[in-house]
Amino acid sequence: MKNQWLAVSGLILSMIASSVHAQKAPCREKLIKLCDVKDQNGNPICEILKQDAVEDPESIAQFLGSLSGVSEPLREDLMCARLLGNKRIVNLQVSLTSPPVFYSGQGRWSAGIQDPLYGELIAAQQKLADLDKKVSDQAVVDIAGFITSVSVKYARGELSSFNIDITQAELKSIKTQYATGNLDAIVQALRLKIKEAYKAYMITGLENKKGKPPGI
Amino acid sequence: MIEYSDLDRGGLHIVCIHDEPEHLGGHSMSSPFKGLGRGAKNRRRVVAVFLLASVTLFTLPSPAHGGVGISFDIFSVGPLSFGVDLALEEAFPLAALFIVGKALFSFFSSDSRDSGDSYSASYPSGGLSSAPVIVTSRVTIDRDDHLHGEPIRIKYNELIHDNRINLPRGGCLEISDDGKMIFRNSSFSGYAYIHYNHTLSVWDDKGTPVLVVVPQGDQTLILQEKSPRASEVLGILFGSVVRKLG
Repeated sequence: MKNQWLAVSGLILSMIASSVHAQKAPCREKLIKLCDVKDQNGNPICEILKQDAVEDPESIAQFLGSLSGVSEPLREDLMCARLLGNKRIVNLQVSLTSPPVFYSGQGRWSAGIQDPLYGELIAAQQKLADLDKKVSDQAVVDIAGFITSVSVKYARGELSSFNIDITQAELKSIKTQYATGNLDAIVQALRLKIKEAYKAYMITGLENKKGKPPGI
Repeated sequence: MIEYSDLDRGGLHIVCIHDEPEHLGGHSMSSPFKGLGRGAKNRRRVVAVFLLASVTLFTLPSPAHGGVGISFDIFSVGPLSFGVDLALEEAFPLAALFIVGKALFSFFSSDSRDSGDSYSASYPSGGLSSAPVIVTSRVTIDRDDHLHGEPIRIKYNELIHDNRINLPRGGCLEISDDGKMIFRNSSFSGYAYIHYNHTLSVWDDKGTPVLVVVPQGDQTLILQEKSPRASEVLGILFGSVVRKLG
């Protein structure tokens, strides 16, 4: 009986040991500064790994405009080569809206922003606009994301409009009427502004008769 | 020189004024203001008699006529005016002549610059529609897609020689139209893809993943099969530095 119990325990232990061994990743994972090493300059694979140049609405409009006379298959290859994939686009002059579809220059930018803070930004912006009609929803934003689709329209050989879809978009920088910074900083600044406005309404006429009128 | 002449046509008095061009540098332009001698006095008398006769003629009472017609005012200064009265039976043939003449002139005239409001437009030959030409293009990818051959050749054209990317330890990646970059002249037999997020994936001939290189900010994440060939591929791609890093 005792021998049986020892045999079962040994079996269980061996199974546990084998399962632990099986959980080990079948591959090696390393995070290194591979392409920063001096003698790797000019390595073709490092060039491929480099991120693309930063774009803005003007550069994209100029690029797409220059393709008006190019044959359609080659135009599509050029658009794939330059615009699709991971990109950073700066200086988009937009109205902050929900859903985040921005119009800047000749372009329509549909940005799939997953950060829940963006919803809070829109709500805070709307609250401020309710408190003061002079509050603008205009902003200048920098976006990083993965461009999955680009469509372009030409009329009479000239660029008419273009449409860009960005997934997993992040607002890297936002410049609004009241603050400049990342999404978190802007939301905090707008919340503070709303609090100040509420407080001003609550004390107007109670403390200082000549005090500032309520508002933002 | 200005010449006045009266044409008597069936009771109609039409005044024609002819303005003849004078020779450039001629003396006739200044001659009326040269010394006033006997000839000038005679001319004054003629003018005075002409004016007196005209005033007498216009102020003489004349019998009134009734009828319907058309009146043309040719010249008027203050209370004085010269004009032509036409009865309808005389006006219609003249109007018809005028219309026919104008039509003929327009027909044979090839110069449209005098018309004042001209319009010109050009249209493509061959009977094509003049509607604006709209051209659209659209490209779409999924997140995991890799670049195809032509976008690779366009994007990395400075790295590509004879459709190949030369590698540091010798050998090369030959670019296929479907985007498969095949290892040539190398100890590794397989292929690689460049993905749209700048990731490079390496596969063996059987389609088994061997190595994935992912850029992450200023660092590079390397996911490799636990095998000597994966380390070998890493060395083929990046050269001696990888060996130093271990």
